[in-house]
Amino acid sequence: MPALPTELVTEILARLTVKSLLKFKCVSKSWRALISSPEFVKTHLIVCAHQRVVLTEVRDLYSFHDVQYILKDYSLNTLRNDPVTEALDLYYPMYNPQQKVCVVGSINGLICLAIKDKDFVLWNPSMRLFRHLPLGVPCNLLSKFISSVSWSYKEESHVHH
Amino acid sequence: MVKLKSNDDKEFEVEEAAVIQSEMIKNMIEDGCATSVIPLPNIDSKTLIKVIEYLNKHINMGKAAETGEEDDLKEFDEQFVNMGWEELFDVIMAANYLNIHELMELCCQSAADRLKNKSVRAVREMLKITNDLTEEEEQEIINDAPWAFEGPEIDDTVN
Repeated sequence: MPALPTELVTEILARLTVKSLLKFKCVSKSWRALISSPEFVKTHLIVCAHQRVVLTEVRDLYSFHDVQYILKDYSLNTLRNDPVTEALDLYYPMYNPQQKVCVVGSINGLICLAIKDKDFVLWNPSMRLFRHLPLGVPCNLLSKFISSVSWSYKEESHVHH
Repeated sequence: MVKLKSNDDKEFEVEEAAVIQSEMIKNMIEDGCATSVIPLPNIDSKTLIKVIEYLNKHINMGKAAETGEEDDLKEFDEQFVNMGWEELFDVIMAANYLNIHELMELCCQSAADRLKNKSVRAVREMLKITNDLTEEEEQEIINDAPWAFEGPEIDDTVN
């Protein structure tokens, strides 16, 4: 079988999940280099953009004092086309259903979470990586913060570690 | 009608409405370069027959949406990609050369779906790739994201 040219390997790999890609870095040196390259990460982002959505579900079990907060992960495609959609519970950093959690914003698959309205976490669910944002950022400054984060993401971090 | 010639010298007649789904041939026809037979030196007759089958079925994509034949088309696509690896790669190369966007999309997605849950070993064998990473390098990649190498879905079979 003749080897596929790199441009066609890229076309195929760009349709895989991040989990599969991290695994396939082990296939060979050229696959490792391809998957780690900023160009590939950009292509992957374009092909796979807007495929999943995260929603917060608030469960009021018995009383006001017993509220649970769950993050749910949905495939956008099945939400649009299928009558029944399967949702997965997402185990975000420091998962605890008793504490209040909400999604403050997201860009390019990075999600900013506010936990108990005071801890802000920048989270990449596909890579299972997260960073705490500096404490004491008032809510009204947060939108500014997110735009600066998205800027640094665009400029520096088109890399699957 | 447009005549296409494969690299093993077989000629095929295809309706113009079908063949212009290929951007490459569409441009050739528009530029007046497709007067007699269009030679396709990169495509063998077996692959060309598959591509023509796809083009004929997808001839009226827009109409299918109006007449509710979308499901029929979806079923055809599912059947169409039900082929061996080598054949699938031949069709991907042909679709890329002829620049048939939808066919490229369909076949690359099928290839990705077949690969996604495979083990690293299985992928190397399926694609005939020789591992040139050292054991240390491999371990380093695994240590970066051990969870990517685990899970009940990981499939070590080669097909």
